Order: sequence, then structure tokens, then C-alpha cells
Amino acid sequence: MFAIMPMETEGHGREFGRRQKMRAKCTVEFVCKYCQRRFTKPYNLMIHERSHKDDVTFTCEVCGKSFKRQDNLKQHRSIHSVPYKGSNGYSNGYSSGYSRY
Amino acid sequence: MVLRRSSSTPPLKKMEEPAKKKQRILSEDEESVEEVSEIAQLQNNLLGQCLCNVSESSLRKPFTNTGLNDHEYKSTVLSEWEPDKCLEFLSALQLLFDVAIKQNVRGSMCSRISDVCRALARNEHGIVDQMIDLSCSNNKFISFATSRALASFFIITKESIDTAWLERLTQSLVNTNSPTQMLFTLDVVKRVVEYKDCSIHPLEDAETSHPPPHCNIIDISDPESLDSTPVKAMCVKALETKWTVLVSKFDAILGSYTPQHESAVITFLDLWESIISVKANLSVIDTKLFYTQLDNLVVLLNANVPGVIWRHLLGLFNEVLCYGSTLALQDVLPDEPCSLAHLVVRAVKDWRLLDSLPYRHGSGRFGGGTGDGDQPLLQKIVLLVLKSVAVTVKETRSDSSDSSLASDAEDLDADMAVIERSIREVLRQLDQCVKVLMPFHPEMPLSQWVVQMFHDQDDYLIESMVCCLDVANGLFYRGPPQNDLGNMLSPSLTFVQFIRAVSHDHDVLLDFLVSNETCFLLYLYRFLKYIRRFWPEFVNCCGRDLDDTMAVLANLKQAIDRLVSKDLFPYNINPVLRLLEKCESLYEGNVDN
Repeated sequence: MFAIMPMETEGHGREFGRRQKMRAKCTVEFVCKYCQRRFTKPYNLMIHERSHKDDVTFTCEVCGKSFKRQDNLKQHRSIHSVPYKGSNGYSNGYSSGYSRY
Repeated sequence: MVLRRSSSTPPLKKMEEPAKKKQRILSEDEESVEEVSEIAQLQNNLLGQCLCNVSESSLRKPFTNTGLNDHEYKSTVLSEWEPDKCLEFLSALQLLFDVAIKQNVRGSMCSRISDVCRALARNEHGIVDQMIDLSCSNNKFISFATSRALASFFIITKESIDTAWLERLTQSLVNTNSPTQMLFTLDVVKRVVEYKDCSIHPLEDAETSHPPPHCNIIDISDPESLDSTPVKAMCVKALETKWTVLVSKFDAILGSYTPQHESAVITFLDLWESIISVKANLSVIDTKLFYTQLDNLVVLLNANVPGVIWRHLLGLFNEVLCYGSTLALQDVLPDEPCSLAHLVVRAVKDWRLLDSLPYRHGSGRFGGGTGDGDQPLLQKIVLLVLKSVAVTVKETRSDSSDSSLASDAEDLDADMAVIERSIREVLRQLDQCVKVLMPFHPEMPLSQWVVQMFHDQDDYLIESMVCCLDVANGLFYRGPPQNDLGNMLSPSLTFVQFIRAVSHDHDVLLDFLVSNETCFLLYLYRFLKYIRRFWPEFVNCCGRDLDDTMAVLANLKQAIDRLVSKDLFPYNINPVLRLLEKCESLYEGNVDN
């Protein structure tokens, strides 16, 4: 789901002054596809990249309509004749639009 | 466009009573009825998502002196039009661009709407230049309407915009001393930078922005056409060349602050915050310059600056110290946020920054404030201090623990002892300040009041909890100490207080995890690691709350398991699940014992 872009740090230049030595220890970095910030752990990058997204949605399991807020979804479900008793309806909500970055 | 001679109603009245407009004009003479029908026709066509029925000559009429009714137009220059007529024209442009943006997002556009936008992008009749000229208008309504229309125009025109337009706008920002003109340019750039590509509200019916069936539709299949990042980058680039001068200019304005500059200063600070915001999705390399020149602003936090400006300055600093979303996750912190964090720590510790907080000034009624105190302001400064402390500790740990920089564990201990003294003093002052202003029990430690302080601000709450947790982890790397600082920062006390605040409802935790509005994933992930490492301390802190607290975590684990089994969880939650399992087994072992 999250495009992780490993990048060699060697020869990447002096970005953060006095901590260059520490940076040189890291052999692989993971670069955010939105802001190009660097992380040394892929899970940290994933957590960071979630902050860039603005489209986490809650999707109705009956009609597929998406909502930004769960309470709006709950209210919407009442329009369907059969009350919903399934899962929480969370959707990954990451629209294909984000692939453009 | 089809707009013609304006009616005699003053613009202010028309803006206040738009709903009565049609009814009132219909009762006037025949010419006015015809005029309204033309305006209504254009607006209705735009609202109907299609301009196929509107002739080109009609659209160009105000800018060509060839028609039979030339005498009706005093000038083809917008700035010479009557204010009413100018406002109507600008509103029509705004509507046109907004419809075009929505259709572009939906992937199918009325070809006529597309043609008109392209003609405007070619600056036919010099309309774009004329709109920029209106930045000098003394009429605030015209200035506001133009800035909105111009921002929408830039968004729909994307990278085809002429850089000369941006140069004119930014240069005028440097040259002018007029707050209204400054506000104009700042507002245009801010609207572009803050634009969200998926800005159509989820509750809006998708059908309403589709062209009608008879329309000559063009399909937009290029996914790049949806991306506003390039135009945002162009605006930021144009601003960058003037940034150093602009910051000095606004430093001077803030240094001798007068209320007439309030809107311009607030918009400037908001724009700055938007440019560096993680949500702006702009490259940190392209925006590096915008992380500099912050130190002077910290000095400007004094009694001469009103609370409203304090709030926006603190908002900017809090965005620079993007702890929960970014800095907490990086092994090597950039210099600029570290420098700001050090300055804030020093300002609190040595210059008594918290004493000059204008908490009792102003009504504080906007943005959630109550009574005489400005609680949102207090929340912002508490968050800023906690972030500054967390960044300072993290930076020291990163440097000292690096064997290539510091030689051994003794150096680390020495560094951390120095930092601990400073941090203890900063947190003591913060605790003292908060307890003077808020009705918290004098004995309640920071680790507990932090939950109450942010009870109405989820994002601040969770980020503050991450800061406290990281500071505790950073300072107490040899284990939680049994002293006042250990109590002040106890992650377990904070968590128990938090679980009480959400009424032991695991669904709230699940919502926080699924949503990306807070950094709860990071918090939970780190907190579970913490209790796995210091389980006895957690059990001790929970006391009688242990069973209830662990029940919430067990229910949360089950709820996550259900979603994961149906492939409904939006990201990889397995590391958290594994930690929950580990804590559950520790608890079961604890119960068995």
C-alpha cells in the first residue's frame, strides 16, 4: 500500500550539519513520497505518510457511499430499510487519486 | 460576460440580502427584468454545469466596444466599473472556476466551460492583469471577491499560469504598505496552498457537478490533471524569492503592532503555517527556507502583542515542531525545529515566557474559549512547551547515543543529567502556570492534568501524550525513577487517566486508530512497547484500575482482529496487534501469579 523508497545515503551530501556522521551510519533510508522527509524504519515512514492523507473515510456497506465521519455513516445507515449489523464499515478509503504522487 | 449595467442598490445591501434580489428586481422596469434574466441565465447555466447555450459574443460583450449597447458600458477596464457590476462579474468568474474545478475532479467537463477557462488563462482582454490590478482597490468587497476568484483561477489553470502574474503579486506584497493590498496577495497564495485536491464534500451528491446529458462533454482521463501540487509549488517558489524581505517586514509590523494590521498579520502567519504543514504535501526540500527566521518571532511573544496574534504565532511554531506526525519518527532531526525547540525551552526557563501569556486578555470566546480566560491559547502554549521539551530530549539522545560522536555511556549520562535539570525546571514552570490558570488539584501531576487540559482537542491530547511518553523514555532510559519527575511524566498514569476520559470505551480507541486525525497509532505503538518493558511499573501505577484498563485493551485487540480478518483495516496494524498479544500474556501471567 505504501510505496517505500529505499535510498542510499552515501554521497547524499551534508543536510543536517553536525549529525552527518550519524546519518552516514544508516545504510538505507525510507523517503516519504509526499514531502521527501527521511526515515530509517519502514513502519515509521508508514505512520508518517498517514499524516499526509486527508481522505480516510467510512464507507456504507450497503450502498458504498463514503463519509468522513463515522457518526455521519451511522446516521446514513438509517435510510436503508434493513438495519446494518455487520462490521464497523471501515474502509481503507485511500482513493486512487493518491497514486498520482 | 453577460453582466450589464448594475442596479442602483448599494453593494453592501445586496451582499446582505441575496435571497431577496430576484424578487426585488422583478418588480422594477422592463430593462431590469431583461438584465436579471441575462444574469440569471448565465448563473443558471453555470449552476446547471453547462455553458453550451451561451454565445461567445455574449460572454465577451463587456470587453468589446462593438455591440449596439456600447453606451451601457462605461469602460472595458474592470477597475473603472461600478462596484456592484464589478462584484457581479467577479462572482460569476468565481462560480465559473469553481464549477470547472469540480468538473475537472469528476473527470468530465463541459467543453464550453473548458474553453472559457482557457481563454482566460490566455489572458484574453487582459482580464487576469485587471484582476491583479484590483489588489489596489480600496473596496474591501471587491478586493475579497477578486482574491477568491484569482485563487480559483490559479487552481484550475494549474502550471499553465504565467509566472509574471505571481511575480507581480509577490512584488506588490513587498512594495505596499497598505494592509488591504498585503491581505489580497496573501489570501490568494494561502487559498492555493490550502486547496485540497479531493475537496468535494463526501455528502455532496456526485450528480450535481456533472454536466447535463445534452452538453458537449470532454472526458479528462489524465490523472495529472487532478494534481494541484505543481501550482502550489509555483506559488511557494514565487514567494520564496521575496521571503527574507517579507519576514523582516512582518517582524517590523509585529514589533510596533497596530490593530489595522491584524488581518494581514494573521493571514501571513496562517500562510506560513500552511506552507510548512505536513498536510500541504509539499516537498521539505522546496520549503526549507520557510523553516528559517523563526527565532525573531519567539522574541515577539510579549505583552505588546494581543492574544489573537499569540495564538497564530503559537500555531506556526507548533506546526514547525511537527512532532507526532514527523519528528518523533525520525532518527535524525533537522536543525531548524531543534533550534526553535531550544529557544522555547530557554524562553520558558530563563525569560519567563509563560508569565507574559495574555490568558486573561480578550474574550477567549472564539475557538472554544470560555469566560475570561483564553483556553485555546493556553492549550497551544502547553503543547508547544511539551513538543519543545520532547524535541530537545530526542535530539540529545540521538547525538549522545551515537557512538561516533560520544565515546561511551558516561557521556550519555552526563548529557542527560544536564538536560534533565533544564527539563525539570521547564516542566515545573509549566505546571505552576497551568495550576494558576486552571482549576486543577494542586497535587495532580502533569501526567494526569495533560488529559484534562486537552479534553476537547483530540489531536493536541494525543500529541501531548506522545511528547510526555517520549520525554519519559528519553530521560528514564534506565527505568522509571521514584521521584517527582518520574511521577510528573509517568506514561502509565497518563494512560490510565486517558482510558478513564474515554469511559473505558474501546471503540473510541479504534476510531482513533483508524482515523488519521491524531497520532494515536504512534502513541499506542510506543506505549505498548513501554509497558512491555516496564510491566511492573505499569501494574503498580494502574492499581485497582488494572483489570478495567486491560479489559479495554483486550476488547480493542478483538475489534482489530475482526477488521483484519475481513481485510477492512486500512493499513498494517500487525506490529500493534503483536504488542497487544504480548501485553495480554503479561497480564495473564500477572493474574496467574
